[in-house]
Amino acid sequence: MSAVGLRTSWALGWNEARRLVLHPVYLLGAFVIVPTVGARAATGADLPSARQVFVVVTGVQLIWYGLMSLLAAGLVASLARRSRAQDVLEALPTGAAARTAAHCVAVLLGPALISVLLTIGVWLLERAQDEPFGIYTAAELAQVPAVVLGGGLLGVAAARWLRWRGGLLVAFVGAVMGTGWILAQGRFGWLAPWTTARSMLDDPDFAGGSAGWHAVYLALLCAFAAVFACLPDVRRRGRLVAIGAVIVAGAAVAGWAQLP
Amino acid sequence: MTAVVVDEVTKSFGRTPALAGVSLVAGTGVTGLLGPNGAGKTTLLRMLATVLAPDAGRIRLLGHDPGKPDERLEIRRRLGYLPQEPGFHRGFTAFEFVDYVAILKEMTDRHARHDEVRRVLDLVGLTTVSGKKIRALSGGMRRRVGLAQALLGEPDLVVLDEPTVGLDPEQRLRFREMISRIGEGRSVILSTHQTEDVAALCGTVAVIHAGRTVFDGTPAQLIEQAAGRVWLARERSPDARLAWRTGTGEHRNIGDSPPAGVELVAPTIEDAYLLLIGDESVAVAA
Repeated sequence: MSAVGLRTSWALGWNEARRLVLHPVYLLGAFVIVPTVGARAATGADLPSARQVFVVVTGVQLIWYGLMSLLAAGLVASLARRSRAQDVLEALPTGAAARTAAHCVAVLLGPALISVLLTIGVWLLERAQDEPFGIYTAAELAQVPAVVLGGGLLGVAAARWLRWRGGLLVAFVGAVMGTGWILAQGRFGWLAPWTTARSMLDDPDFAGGSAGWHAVYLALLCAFAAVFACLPDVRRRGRLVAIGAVIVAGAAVAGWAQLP
Repeated sequence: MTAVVVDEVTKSFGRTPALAGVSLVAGTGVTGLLGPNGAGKTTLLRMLATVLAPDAGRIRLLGHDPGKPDERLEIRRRLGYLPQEPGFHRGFTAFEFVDYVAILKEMTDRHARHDEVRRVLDLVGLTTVSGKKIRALSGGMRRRVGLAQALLGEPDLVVLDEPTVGLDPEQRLRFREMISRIGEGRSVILSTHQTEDVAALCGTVAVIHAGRTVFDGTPAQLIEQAAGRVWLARERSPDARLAWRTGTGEHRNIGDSPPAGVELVAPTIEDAYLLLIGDESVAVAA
């Protein structure tokens, strides 16, 4: 991509990030998260209040913000197609590849950045306690924004590849069910694109993996989702396919290294 | 410089031919494209907007070949395009939508871009409603939002596909005024069904029929083709290809051979267009 293209993608990314974080689909998520958080708060009533805040903030990000970011990013990325504005856009100097890159930037600058800030906030909250909770390590906390970023990038990829009505919903259901299925595969549950909280390690089949390698694994999956999203529209696919192959190889190594 | 050169261009969609050898040359000023539904106007305009590639033939826009990626990019930087059905992000305000397009036109400096967005919105008379959601705007205002985005960056070539369709008479007159101003110093290609728009606005006109250019010249030359072929009579003339009763009670007849002794009248551009297109236009007009 040229320097002008990069500047345009960056400027558009900021523009789209603002729309993304204000997307009304996040309100929809409240219907899921309010009962979930309520249940968590009820069962953890005897926990210190700071720890409840910690659990709720990380839980909300994973269960609600990550999943809703998939939908929000998919809807923002497919807006031109759904509103039939493509004829206008196709006659402009910025092509579909740069627009998709901008949507990936928007996920990074919007939901993922918010998730990073929230995660740093809860980490500081834990550090401020006389007796840290010890629920998550730093490597495990780093996985939280990675899941949010991955959710958004998967939404962008779904918008570019599944260009039919209901395609995004299929991606959403597939991501949820697929993640759930992988998590249930004993030690191979580490391959799920999800966090590995220490509380999960109570399961003997799951214990013993590397949270640090899992964070690297998630970051590489995010990179692959971005490459995959951009693939349909780039002029020179060969270079991007090669980059994608390197990322997949790296993810395979990290995925193997993390296993118990 | 000649902004548009189209030479024997063809295009088919599956087995359906849309263009069967269209040629067109357009320079500075407003060039009108006239033709019945299905004549191929929109297909040709999408090619001029670099959205569609021809199957055969040659197109040069602003001195560049749109078939080459680098040259196509150069054309797009100097092009403004209003499609027949623009399609809007209806949740956007007018300002947000035009600003979004401005970013895609590579205007990355925020302050300069916002100044430019305000300028084009002012040009089309939408300053006061720029903060309104597009879904809340009337059809005429939406067309103006579409025109505003096409004017971003003062493009050298502006392609407008039926910009006045669905507008009430007052809105149409406003659009005419805007388009005539836009056409001062740049090339505007205007597709329309409205012969009056062509007569009022265009320095040159091309008539497309069944995927071919059947006329290319000035509106005066088009009208000239109908000289001596339009007459008034008390009755509908059997020699007329088309006739209708006017408000004065007389019949305006259009045909190739007026009967002897009838009162010939000055033709309009509409008369000439109907004569040129023939029976199909009559069917469409009816």
